Order: sequence, then C-alpha cells, then structure tokens
Amino acid sequence: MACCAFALYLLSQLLLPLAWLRDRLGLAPAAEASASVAWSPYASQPASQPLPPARRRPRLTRPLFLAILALELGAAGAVTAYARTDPPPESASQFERTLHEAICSIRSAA
Amino acid sequence: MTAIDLPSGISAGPEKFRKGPVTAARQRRTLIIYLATVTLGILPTLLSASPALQAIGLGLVAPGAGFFSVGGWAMLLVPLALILFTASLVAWFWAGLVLAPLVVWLGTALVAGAMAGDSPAAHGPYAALALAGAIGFAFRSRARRLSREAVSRGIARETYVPQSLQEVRAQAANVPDPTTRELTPEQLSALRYLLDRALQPVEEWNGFDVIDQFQPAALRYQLNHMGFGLGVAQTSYLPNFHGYLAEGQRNLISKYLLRKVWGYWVYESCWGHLNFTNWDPANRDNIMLTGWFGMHVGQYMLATGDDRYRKPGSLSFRLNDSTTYVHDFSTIVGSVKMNYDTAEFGHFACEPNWIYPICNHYGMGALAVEDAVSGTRNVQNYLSNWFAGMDTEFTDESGSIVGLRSQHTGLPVPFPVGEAGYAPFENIFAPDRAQKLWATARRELAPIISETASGPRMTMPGKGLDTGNYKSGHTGAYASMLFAAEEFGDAHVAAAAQAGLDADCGREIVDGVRRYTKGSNDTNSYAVLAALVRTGDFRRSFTQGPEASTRTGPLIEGAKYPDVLVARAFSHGADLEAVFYPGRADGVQEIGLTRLKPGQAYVVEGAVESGFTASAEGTATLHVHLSGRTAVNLRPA
Repeated sequence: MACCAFALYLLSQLLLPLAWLRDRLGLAPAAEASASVAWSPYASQPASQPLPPARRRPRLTRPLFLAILALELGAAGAVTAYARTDPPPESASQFERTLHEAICSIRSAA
Repeated sequence: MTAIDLPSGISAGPEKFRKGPVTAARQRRTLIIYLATVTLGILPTLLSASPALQAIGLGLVAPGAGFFSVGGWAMLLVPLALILFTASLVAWFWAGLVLAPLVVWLGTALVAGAMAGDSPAAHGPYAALALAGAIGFAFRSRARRLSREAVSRGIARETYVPQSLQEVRAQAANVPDPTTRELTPEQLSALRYLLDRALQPVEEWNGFDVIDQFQPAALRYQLNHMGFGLGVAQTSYLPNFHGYLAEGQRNLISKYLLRKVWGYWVYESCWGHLNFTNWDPANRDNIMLTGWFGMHVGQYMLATGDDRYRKPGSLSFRLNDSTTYVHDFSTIVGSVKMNYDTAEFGHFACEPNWIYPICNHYGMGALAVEDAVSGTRNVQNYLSNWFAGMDTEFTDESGSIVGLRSQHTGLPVPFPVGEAGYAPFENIFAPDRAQKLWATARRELAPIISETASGPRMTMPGKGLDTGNYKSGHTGAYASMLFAAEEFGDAHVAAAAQAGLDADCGREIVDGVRRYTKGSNDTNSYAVLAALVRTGDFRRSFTQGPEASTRTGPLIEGAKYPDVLVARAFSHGADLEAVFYPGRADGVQEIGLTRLKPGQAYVVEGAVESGFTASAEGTATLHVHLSGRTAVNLRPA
C-alpha cells in the first residue's frame, strides 16, 4: 500500500473525538459513492445508477458557523477597541511598548 | 532478459532482538541534544535573568512550557501550543516539512518571552519540568507496554508459525500452468477498470482521485498500482497481446512524467532538504518515487520486451522550458542504488527524514527487476546489506518490521503496515522470508474470518480508512489481504477476503466494468491487481517475465478497445492461441497480427478465414466473429 499514511493515521486519532461528537449530533456526511470510481468513458451509456438522495440531516452547521463567526468578530472588536483606547501600562516591558505602539500607530499619529 | 540471481547466505530472519547500532546512536544523540537544550533553557532561571529570557528558556524545555513562566491566563496557551506542535509534526510527516516543529517550538518560546511581565511566575520552572517529565513518562510507559506486548506476540508466534509456514510452502509451490492461463469474464471486467483510465489521453485524469500529491492519495501511487495490474495481466495471461494493453501501460508511464505528478518534490526539496536549486526527483531520497516507478517501468519492459525506456532521456522530468531532469530506466534505478550505497540504516528515506521499510521493499523490487531486464546483479550486491539493516534497525521484539523510523532522531513511529502488506513485495526478491511473513499474517487474520454457509468471510472491524481518498472504507484493506493471499496461493484466506470485499465495498458491474463504489481509485486499482494475481504471479512479473516461447511467437497488435476483449494470448513459439470476448456487442471484428514469419502460410481455426499467408513484414489481418467466448488458434501450415 501507499506509504506515508502515518500522518493520516495521526490526524485521524486527533480528530477522533470530534468525529465521534459529529456522529452523535447526526452531522455525519451521508455515505456516497466515489465520483472518480463511478467515472466511465462510455458517455452514450449511463455510467451508473443515480445514488439515493442523501439522508436529510439537522441544519446545525450554519447556525453554529454564524455563532462562531459572531464570537470571533466580537472578540476582534473588543481587542481593537482596547488597543485604540488604552495606553500601555507603565509596567509594560520595552518589547510590549514597541508592540503596542506599532499596533496603535493610528492613535499615536492622531 | 534473464531471471534474477538470488544471493546465498541471506539470513532466515532476525534473531534475538537488539536495538540497531545506528538507531541507538541517533537516539542517544537526540537525547543529548534535548538535555543540552533543557539545561540551556533552565539557565536564565538559575541566573535570575530577565523574565522574558526566563520564559523563552522554559519554552525550550517543552513546546509551550514558556507560558508557565508568564503565568495567569497565559497558561491556557500551553495546551494550545501542544496542539499546534502536534499539528506541526503532522506537517512534518505529511510533506517532509522539517522546519515546522522547530518553528512552532521556538516560536511559542519567543511568544512567551514577549508576553512575560515584570516578574516570572514562581511555579513556572517546576510546571515546565513537570510537563516535560509527564510527556517523557507517557512516551516511555507506552514504549515499554508496546515492547512487552511485542515480546508476548513473538513468543506466541513461535508456537504457530512453524506449522503455518509448512502450509504456506505447500500452497506456494502449487503454481498455475503458464501455458493455459486465461482471464475469466470477472477478471476481464476488473481489467477494464484499469484500461478505461489508462487509455484516455495522457493529459487527462478522468477516473483518478486528484487530492494532494504528497500522501497516499497522490496520483503517483494510483499510476503505480494501475501499472502493476496491467503488468501482471501482460505477463501471466496475455504475453502475446500488445496492442491497447501495452499502450495503456505506456500511457501510465507518460502520465507519471508530468509535473502534476512529481512536482511535489520541488516543495519537499525546499522545505525538507533546504535545497532551492536542484529538484531532480531521482536524486537524493524520494524512494517513494524512484523505487515505485523503477518497479513499474521495469515490469513493463520485462513483460513486453519493449526497451524504449533504456534510451537516455526517455523518462525525463520536465520542470519548465529551461529545466528538464534527464532520466531513463537505468538512472531511475541508479538513484535507488546510489542512495543505498550511503544509507546508514541500510534503507533510505521517502520524504526527507522518514524511512519507510515498505517503500524500501519497492526499492529492492526495482533493483530486482533491473536484474531481470538488464542482467545486472543488484540483488546479489545489495540484498545482504538491505536485510542487515532490516533485521537490526527495523525489527521489533516480536520480529515484526518497524513501519517507520525518523532518520534524524532514530525514533520509531507507529505505521499501519503488517506482515501481509510486506509479504508480496518481499516475495519478489526473498521468497523464503516472504513466506514466513505470510505464515505469520494468515494466522493472525484468523480472528476476523468466519465460516458462513457460502464459505469463509473476512470482516474488517470499524469504519476503516481508504488511503486513496482519506474517507472511511475497507476496500484497500480487503484488497491487500486478497492480493497477499492470492500471491501465496492461500485459497481460504483469498476466498474470505473476496467475500468481505464484495459484501462491504459496493461491488457493481456497469458497462462490463467492475468497480467498488465505496473505494477510491487507488484501492480499486489494488483490487484489480488482487483479482488478477494467482500463485507467484506478482513475483514472476518482476523476476522472470512471460514464458520464453512467447517472446518469439506471433503478436496480437490490432484490436479495438473495448469492442474486442482479449482473455488469452499465448504462443508456444510459432503458433498463437487466443481467446476473445465481445466488449460491446456480438459481431465481426478485425484482429491485426505482427511478428509472423514473413511469407509463411498459416492455418487458422475460429476466424472467418481458414488460413492466410503473412506479408513480407510478418503481418496479417484476421476477421473474427465474436460471440461470447471465442477461441482462435493459428499455426504454420
């Protein structure tokens, strides 16, 4: 068999809990035939029987995505607001000051 | 063409387990470097250096450990850093990205330094050392547990392998008669899966999985496995049919030379070897290309007698308008030999740093097929050292092969290839040892084989993993077992694997083409190979090629695909025995013949014509009414 599958194995081990959770939530993708395997050069003849429609699954993906996006945007907004209003604390290290000034250059310029 | 000459004095297998000297030296070096790094990392704390330096130092003790020195909420970054480090290891495995773990480890240390406050957290050094200790302890415990299990497995094997080996030797001796081989309709439908894909224009990739070109779904592996199947069909069943069968094999070789297939090496050379100028894929490392492709091309040359790939530049890898890496069959195999000449482990790497014994089996297979094609003595010259490396550096306490080892650190890594995976490849150049591998594998497969009313049935546990498309599925696993069982003539295990494959993997035949809809193209190709192989076929296709009599007899060259399916084409020297099936519909088809004796009159049975006289070029055309199995024989009048 093709070599180098270890990376895949390792990745699958890492993702195992997530896959388990996904299956429990009914979000597992419906089994589908491989498109590459179903390919046929005989265009005039049907390549394969059409697959049965995939099982309808709960539409949790989009709300979940939107919730995460909202959280990310909120966090980014909060950080930006903090960076634009708060001066670096007196106790900050030189590196931190430099970093702060670089990020908050708009405020400094103003 | 000559059969390969096996060396005498190859060890029967590893004896008492001991860690290989190169492995031990690399592991010692790794440990010393790590301990020196830890010492260096602790120094800022001992010397009461600045908090930033202390955090950076502790960050060297373990990935993310510097955040312990920052303290507070920053400690939540420790698990994040560990996850990131694990991901960087995946990148290292995945594509030879050697720098990834170093960048993450050092990067998290620097970030911790940047975040350090006025004073370091008092518990920082203790927590960092505890983390490093816990990781080390966990790995050590796991290694000891695996070692104990391997010792137990080795002891158990001593009780059942000798008996199993006797059975394997008896089964493997029962080889099919090469003069009567004929593809069954089921085998023809499997072969058509490969031909449909191989006969499309070289630049097209219909029916292939195009995902990434680094890992097992890469196009190169699909091409190799398809080539192996066609090569076995050519050697064992159809030695006197070239035509579209040989064209398909050449197409696969031409596809392999496209940058789309081998271009991954440009990236791996840069980030793995830090080589930004020479991206020749047949130079340093990369046995996953040179070993596999060498086997593939050599098998075709041996099966057909076609020597076009000996010509300099016939297997060149074109990078762009100004750069082409010029190669041919001997330089591809030469790259394997050059790397073996300097391989400290006795084996060499696929991606930079990662040595896989399975790919080195392909490498030795490439050397073996060059012996058969060109009369070299590669196996004589290289196999002893190859096995010495295998038995010392790549064998665990149970006698199993260590699937993967880091060249730089000497550390072993679990890799899912078992005895059944290695055995058919080792059978090419070391049949005795290969039989021992299979003797072990077949007994350890017993728990997943059940006896049903319709015969033995293998059942793979879990959802499986199809390495050809990274989805779940067992097609590859069943096909591997079937392939190995067939190569060693083990009818019981073969029947069980075939039953499992058919039941679990979505077998269907559409338009006369068999496929497993739950598998990838790569694992389907492997299933075709398994469908074609019978006892010793795989080995012979790399070591002997077709029967000598077929190399001079008449050839079928002209046959239209898929209208004319060829199930048998064999010559005893001057005659031709052929069997055809209609691929689309019954009717009269033209069959073009070459390599006839010029001006010779021939008697024909089974064709529209009852006889003909060959042209001055040794050619002729026959008309055959195809309807079901149609046998055609011709002989000199």
